[in-house]
Amino acid sequence: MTAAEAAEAELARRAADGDRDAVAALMAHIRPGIVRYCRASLGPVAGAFTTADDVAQECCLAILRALPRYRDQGRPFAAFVYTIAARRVTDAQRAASGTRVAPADKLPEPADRAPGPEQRAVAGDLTRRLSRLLGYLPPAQREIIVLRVAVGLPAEETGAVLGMSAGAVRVAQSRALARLRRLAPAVLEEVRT
Amino acid sequence: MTPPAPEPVDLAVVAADDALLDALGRGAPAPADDEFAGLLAAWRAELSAAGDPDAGRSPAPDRSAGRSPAPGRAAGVSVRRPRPRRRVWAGAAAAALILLGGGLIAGTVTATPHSPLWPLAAAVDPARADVLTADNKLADARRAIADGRYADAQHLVDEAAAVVARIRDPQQATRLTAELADVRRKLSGARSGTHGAPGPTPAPAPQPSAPVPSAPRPSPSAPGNGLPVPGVSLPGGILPSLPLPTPSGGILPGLP
Repeated sequence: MTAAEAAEAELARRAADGDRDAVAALMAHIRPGIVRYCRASLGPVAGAFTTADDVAQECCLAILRALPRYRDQGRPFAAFVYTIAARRVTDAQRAASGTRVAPADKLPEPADRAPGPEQRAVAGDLTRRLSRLLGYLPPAQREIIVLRVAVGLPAEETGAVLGMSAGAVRVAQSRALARLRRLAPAVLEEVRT
Repeated sequence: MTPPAPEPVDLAVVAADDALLDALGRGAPAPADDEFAGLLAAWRAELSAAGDPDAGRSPAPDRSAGRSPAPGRAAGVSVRRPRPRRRVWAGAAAAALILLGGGLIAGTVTATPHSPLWPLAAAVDPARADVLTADNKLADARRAIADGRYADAQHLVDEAAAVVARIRDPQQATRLTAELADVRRKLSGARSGTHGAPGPTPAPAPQPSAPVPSAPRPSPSAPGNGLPVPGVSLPGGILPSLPLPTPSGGILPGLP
């Protein structure tokens, strides 16, 4: 555990013990990453991230609720946070689809082709295309890319979230990138048309 | 650190990819000669920027802030200290976290600016907090006008204007801007009707003491207190008590 991870775990421990400053500081600290995680995982709906942001808020509330049970066991606090967030995202996906979510169909063509405010249409377009592309990865590799790029977790914390070693994360992410580079031209063109 | 790879891997490529993802995770620009990395960088930027609920606030703490771009990182996360205004208010919220358990969660969902849990609710959902704060200040301003406390009303209007200016949700911004204009008109009208002196805030159509027709608004007696705010979707916000519903409850709009 790095010094910064230890500092974060200490902040979480203080928050779990009822430190008033720590609760607010911790939530302010983790929320931006959770928002990006939910946006990356759920993508835009009709050109906006409203649904993803709602789920992000649910994640924050779920983390708050679980916080008194948090105990520093030597794992990065990110593992605690993003395990909860992943469950919430999965719940949201299931609620949206009503069935099991198939990776490649995780974000099927959304209804954002209708004319709308230009900025909204443009805002979610890249995420929609990337979501489609990431859908071609195995679930673990897709989650690694989301955690590494969208959230910004280092390989060590990503591994802690997914129950993998940092080395395994690095190999898996390298394979994921190779696959994405290979598929990108065709998939992005397919989404565009 | 040796990856349990079932097949040989090029360690140089693995290291380069790791460094690239570290950089992208920090929000750094992609190398100019790597088109796909540029795509990932733009994606990451879009996730941070589009309709950012934190827009207009202090910069979002980046988990990778302070880390070296090299694969072997040591600095890690920069944990920021709480901002002073949250320091002042967070006490009751944290105590409630322990004492109230799950009730805290429901409390943060329905908390209003006068609630003990308001600081925590504001930390959880700053965008909602701004909307409720603006609603609250405008309602207080209306009461101040009705009581003849014009200086107080002007102060509240100015505070509300500052909050409204940072609201990004177009629907809420439009609604609150219209309400703000209405309160300003009322204040100006009340001042000119009572004292004959124009208010310091420009008013497009000052009227005497006659009430100005306006859109329906929350009752001044309960400003924003538990009222559903159009355009702000809060899980469980319509529920009075625990448990906090999960998304499977059908409260989420369907994904495409």
